[in-house]
Amino acid sequence: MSAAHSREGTRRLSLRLGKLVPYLYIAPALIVILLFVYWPLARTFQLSFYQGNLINPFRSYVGLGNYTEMIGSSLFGDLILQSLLYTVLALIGSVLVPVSLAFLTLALTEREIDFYQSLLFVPTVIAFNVVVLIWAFFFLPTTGGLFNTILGYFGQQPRAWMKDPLLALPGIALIANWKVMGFHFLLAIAGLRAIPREYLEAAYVDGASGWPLIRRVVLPLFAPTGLFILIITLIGALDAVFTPIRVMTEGGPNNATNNLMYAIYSEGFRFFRPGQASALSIILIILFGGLIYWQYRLFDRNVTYER
Amino acid sequence: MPVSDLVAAYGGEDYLATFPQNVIDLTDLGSGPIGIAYSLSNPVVYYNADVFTAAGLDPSAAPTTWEGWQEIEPALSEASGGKPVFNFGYGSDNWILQAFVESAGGRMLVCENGEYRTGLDSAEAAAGLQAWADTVLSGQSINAGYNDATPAFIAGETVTYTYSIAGRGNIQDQVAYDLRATTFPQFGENPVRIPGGGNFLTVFATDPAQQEAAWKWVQFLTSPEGFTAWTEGLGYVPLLPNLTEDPAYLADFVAANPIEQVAIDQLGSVVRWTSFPGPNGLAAGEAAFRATQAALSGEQTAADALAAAAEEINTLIAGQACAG
Repeated sequence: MSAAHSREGTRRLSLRLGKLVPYLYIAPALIVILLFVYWPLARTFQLSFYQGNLINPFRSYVGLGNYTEMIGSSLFGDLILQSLLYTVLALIGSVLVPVSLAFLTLALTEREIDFYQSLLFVPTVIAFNVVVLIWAFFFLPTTGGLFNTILGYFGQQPRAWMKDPLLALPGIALIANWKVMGFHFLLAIAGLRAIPREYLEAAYVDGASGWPLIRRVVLPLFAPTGLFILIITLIGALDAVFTPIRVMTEGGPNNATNNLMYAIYSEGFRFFRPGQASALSIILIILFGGLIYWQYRLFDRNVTYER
Repeated sequence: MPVSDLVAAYGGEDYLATFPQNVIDLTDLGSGPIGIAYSLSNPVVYYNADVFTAAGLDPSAAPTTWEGWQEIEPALSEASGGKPVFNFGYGSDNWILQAFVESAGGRMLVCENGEYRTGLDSAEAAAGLQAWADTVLSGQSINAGYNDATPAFIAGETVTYTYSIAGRGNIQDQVAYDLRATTFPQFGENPVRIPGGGNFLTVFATDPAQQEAAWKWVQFLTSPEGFTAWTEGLGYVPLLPNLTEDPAYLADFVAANPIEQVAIDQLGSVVRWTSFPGPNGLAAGEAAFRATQAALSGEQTAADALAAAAEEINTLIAGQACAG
C-alpha cells in the first residue's frame, strides 16, 4: 500500500518537475531580458517622474513635470515631425531601394547576383563611425570636399552641406541608408530565393509573366520578408541615423537633423537631465509601440505566411 | 579634496606660493581652491602667411581689428584663388560665439536683481554674431564645426582660422605653408574679451597613500618642467610666471614659436568662459548654439535668433541666484 503511495508521489513529483522543464530552458534568456530590458525599462519609467543629474544621488519628485516640460516645449512638435520625415526617408532608402534592387536581380544569373550582393554588403561590415568619417570628407564645406568639387565642375559655389537646414537631413539620411541598404538587400534576395521554384514554374505554365507574375505570384509570396524588412526599418530607423548625427551635426543646424532618439541622448548625456530623457524615452516607447501594433494588425490581415 | 587639506596633510606651501593669486582663484568656487589650474587656452587667429605675401601684404603685420581684416579680405581672397578668407570653427561650447558677442560689447550672462539672465538679447550681442554671420553669408568665411574647420585650414582651404592656442602643435605639425598667428580682432572701440579654456587637476582619492601620491603627481605636472613639456607639446599657456623668459624652460621655445607669444600677449583679454548656471545650464548652452547655427545659415537674423534663444535660456536658468 505504502509502496503504491510512494510510486504515486514520485510520479506526481516528476510530473510537476516536468512542467518546470520548459521554464528552466527559457530561464537564461528570460533572466537576461528581465535584467537588461524590463528592469531598465521600469527604472526609466520611475526616473521620468524625478529631476536630478547622473552623479548626485538626490532627486526631486516632479510628478508629470518632465512630460509636460517636454511635450510643452516648442521643440517637441519639430522632433515628432522630423522623426516622421526621417522615417519616410528611411522607408525609401532602406526598404524601397534595396527591395527594388533585389527584384531587379531576378533577371540576373546566380553569379551576377552573388557579385552585386557582395558589392552592396560591404558598407554593412565597415564600422559606422569610420563610414561617417569617410562621408564627412565627401560633405566637406570647402572646395576640397568631394561633392563641392563636383559642384565646382558645374561652376557652382561650394555649399556647407551639414550646416544648411535644407540639405543636412537628406545628407544624414543618405549616409545612414547607404550603411544599412546592403543588409536589407541581402534579406530581400533571401526572401526571393525562398519562393519555391515550382510556384513560379506553375505560373509560367499558366501563361503568367512580367508584371502580372510579380504582382500576383512573387509579391504575395515575398510579403512576409517584405514585412520583416519594413518593421526592422521602422524600429531601427532613428537608431541607425544616430551615429552620423552624433559625429557630424549634433542634431543641428538649428535642430534640422534632430529627432526623438537623438533628443533622448542629448537630454541624458549632453545636458545631463536624466528625468527629461526618461520622459522622452517613455513617450517614444508609447509612440513606437502603437505604430508597431497598428502595423502588425494591418499586415496580419494582408500577409499570408506559409505554415 | 580641497587644496588646503592636501597642504595640511602632505605639505606644499612653497609650491603653492609659486602661483600668481589669479591662477589660484581660477579653481576657487567660494570656499578655497579645489584643485590646481593646469591649462589655459584662448582663441588666436592663425593665418597662412604665404597668401599675405602673394597679396603683396606684410605677413608680419596681420590686422588686429575686425575693420582691418575686412579691408584686406578682398586682396587675400584674390591671392588665394577665391578661397574663403575666414574660418571660425565652432561647437556647442559657444566658445567663439562668446568671443564675438563679448568683444562686440555684449554679455553672455548678466546678474540682475540677484538672479542670472542671459545678455544675448542685446543689440551688442546681435551685432557681434551678425558680423560673423555676414562673413559666412557673403562667402568670406566657411561655415564649419571644429571637425571640419581644422582640416580645412590645414589643407589650405581657408586663409585664416580662429581657434584655440591648444591646437597650435597639431596645426603646426601638419601645414605645408608659413603658419603665423595674431590676436583675436578688436571690434571698434570695444575691448577684446575672449573666453579662456582649459582644465584643472584635482584629487579624488580617499586612501591617504593614494592622496599623497596624487598630490605629488599634481605638483610634478604643474612644476616648471611639467608646464614646459605641456606647452611645447600642445600649446596651452603656461601658468607659472616668467617661464617664457627663463632660458632653462620656455624662453627658447617661445622665441622659436612666436604663435605661442600671441596667446600669452592676449592673456589680459581673457574672461571666464560662460557656463550657464543651474541643472539646465547645458540645455541653455544648446539654445545659444542653435541660435548661432540659425544666424550662420541665414535662416534668421542674429537679432531674431538670439532673441528666441534668450527667451529659452532665461526660462531654463530662471531662479539661479547671483551676487550683484
